[in-house]
Amino acid sequence: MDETIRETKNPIARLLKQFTYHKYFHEITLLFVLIIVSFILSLLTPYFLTMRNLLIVLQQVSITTIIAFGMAFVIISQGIDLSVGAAIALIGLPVAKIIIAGGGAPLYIALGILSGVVIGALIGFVNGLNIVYLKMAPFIATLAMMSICRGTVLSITKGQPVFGLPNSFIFIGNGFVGPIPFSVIIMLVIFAAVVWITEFTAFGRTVYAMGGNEEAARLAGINVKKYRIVIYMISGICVGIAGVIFSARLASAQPAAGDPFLFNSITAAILGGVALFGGSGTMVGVLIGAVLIGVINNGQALLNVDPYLQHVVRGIIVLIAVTTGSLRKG
Amino acid sequence: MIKTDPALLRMERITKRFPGVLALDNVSFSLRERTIHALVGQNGAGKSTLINVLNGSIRKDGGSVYLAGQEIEIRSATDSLNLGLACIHQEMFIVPDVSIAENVFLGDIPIRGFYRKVDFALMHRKAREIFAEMGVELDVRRNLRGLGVAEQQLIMIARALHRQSRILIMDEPTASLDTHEIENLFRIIRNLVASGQSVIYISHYLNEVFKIADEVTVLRNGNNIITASVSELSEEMIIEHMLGYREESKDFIRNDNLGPVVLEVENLSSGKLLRDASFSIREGEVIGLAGLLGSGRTELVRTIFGADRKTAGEVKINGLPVSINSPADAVRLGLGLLTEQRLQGIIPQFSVKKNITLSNLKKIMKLFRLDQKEEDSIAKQYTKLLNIKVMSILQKISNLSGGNQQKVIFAKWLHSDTKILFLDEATKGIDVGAKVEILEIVLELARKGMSVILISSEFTDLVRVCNRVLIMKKGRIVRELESFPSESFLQSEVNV
Repeated sequence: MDETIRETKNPIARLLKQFTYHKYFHEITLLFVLIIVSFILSLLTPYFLTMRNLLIVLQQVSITTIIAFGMAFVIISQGIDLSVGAAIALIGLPVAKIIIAGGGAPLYIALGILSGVVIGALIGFVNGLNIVYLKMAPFIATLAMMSICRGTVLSITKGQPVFGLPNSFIFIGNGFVGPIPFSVIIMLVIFAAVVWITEFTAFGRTVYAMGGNEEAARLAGINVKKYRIVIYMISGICVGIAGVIFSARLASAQPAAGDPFLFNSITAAILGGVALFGGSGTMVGVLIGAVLIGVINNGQALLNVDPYLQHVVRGIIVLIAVTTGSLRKG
Repeated sequence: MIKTDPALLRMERITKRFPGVLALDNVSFSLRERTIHALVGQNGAGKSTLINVLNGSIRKDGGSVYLAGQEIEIRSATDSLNLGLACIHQEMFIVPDVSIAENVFLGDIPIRGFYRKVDFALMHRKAREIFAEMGVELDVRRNLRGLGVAEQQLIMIARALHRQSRILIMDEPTASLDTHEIENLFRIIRNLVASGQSVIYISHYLNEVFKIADEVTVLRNGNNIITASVSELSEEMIIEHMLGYREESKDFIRNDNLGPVVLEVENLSSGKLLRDASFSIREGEVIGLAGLLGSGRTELVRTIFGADRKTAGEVKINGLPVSINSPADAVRLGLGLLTEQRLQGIIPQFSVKKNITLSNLKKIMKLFRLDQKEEDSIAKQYTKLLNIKVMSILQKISNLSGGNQQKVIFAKWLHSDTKILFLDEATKGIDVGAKVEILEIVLELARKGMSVILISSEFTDLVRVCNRVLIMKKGRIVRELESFPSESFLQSEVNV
């Protein structure tokens, strides 16, 4: 590739150097780490490397991963969405109410799911409006939205969960299609969709352009205002879908839940290679990152690690993720 | 000027590699005491790299550096500063809200007494002394708000003197200065050299090199081609060394085959910097926009392009009034803008290929997806057409030289089927070879029917390619010239 590499006498060192310049260096390295961690865990406990356990891991990360995909869009375009956790709690409420009111009728279930997605999109739309037209910083705008969502759902429900969701709906969160959890199937479908968008569409290219240099993108004729709102709506839609699965998994609407999703989705995105300052990162990386976090959490649970210690481990993971990112920048 | 041997600073056989390029190939460079030594060369020749090795920004791969006969290792910016090397960049490292004296003492503010208070008296006194030595009158207690680039530069120099620097490295110091300020700067540099400083002076402006420098070194492709006393060389000889071949005196053939009027601007105003501007341009015409700094040229093109908001006036394209509220509108109507700051025209993380297609992604779409093959082929076509020097179209654009980046931006507007192109200082800071190529590209585009509005401070360029030149002053178009026989004619018209 160039003289520095050609000069490296040791052929293995040469191959490694060449590798660091590879387009998918981060993703491949992450996959390697995942494999190594899995290998170590399989040695430490016989329960890890079972089909059942692995599918459980995927099921557990599915919600966070879907949110992480939406979050990745936002971060790549130089933004942030802090409202995801509270929005999930808020979305759970109308979804639950509509479905319960229908007594399990499929029409009402469909309506409930639709309302979840629509409300998620609406939250994203408002975030976008605040950021684009009121010129609020994304951090502030979504932080405010987080408060509004949380306050709204807590005051309406007075903090009480809403129970009574029918089995037909609960299937979405807990059911299996053959050996595969249904929520994992949803996650993979969304994965395919976001990979398509980012790699093969003009819109995807625009997202990266806005993240790389917003002013240059604007001066190149890209309608930055419009696309920014769309990007936050995508995050909102992902939150909507995640909210539906979440309610189904818990068989209830939980107005106080959802906060860990914020931290975990951002961590998954960053671990996956999405730089906080925007312009880079792939959806494949996000998926691998989310799975890696899921595997580490699962491993810790199987090994009976103190749950508070698990927090520490999660924090260390973020540090490692961010450091490797900035080291790569040179 | 008293010149003493041996050399104060000697760099021997310096090598530096970056991915894909050998930036410095066994370059040797000596700076003699009390000398102004100019460093010239095209973009990509290695000037910035050599300087970066000296100021600690990058580490050399091979070679040695000697200061006053002793070998030194520069591992960081701190090392460089401690050794007495001071770099005056184009980006100003100043803090606008504290006083001039504090800026001069930045990082080294004197404190005294039990309570460790800032010793303002000492700071002000020393700062005044330094400025007196330079022959500059500035109130050291005021803050920097309202000070122009020229004064900021002087403060950077003062800081270097405070640090007891022996060697000043000046990188394109006159890029944003007017004639008067340049004279002042040269006077100060000569004073400093007389009192013991040595200066490395990097510039694209060869006329300045002849005015101020004692010696000159020409770099090309990472090699030191020649080092000589300025009196031994002529401008043509230096250019020949820079390019590696004799530059044939180009005969630029203006396009006189003009079509109907394509753009009319009537009474356009925008904020304070653009007042009531009116002009029109025909198909195939190249119009020059000349004027002093702050005359409103950039504001005029940005407002037409929708990048800045207009407060009054009308724009008509092909006779029909249009409403351009954003660059997106402008691009859709066939306009293009090559910005004054190159960084506003490229996405640094994107490859050359992706930058070229950025403004017209529709063209490479095939049924909802981007056609990679089509994109590759288009990028290769433009690379060949505009002679863009890249190893591959997948190369990150930030790795290209300024001139090549500029060509990529041109390609972007060509790909977007631009009919009316605004060029804001398209040849600024670009090496001689690329500059000529770009001017030829402009004429070729005009011949094919594109209308070009060319903002330039280089009167030579304007004379070469323009059909008409508009002079702007204080936000208005004050004069329209149909004939301009020479650069000095234009210069005097602008300075009226």
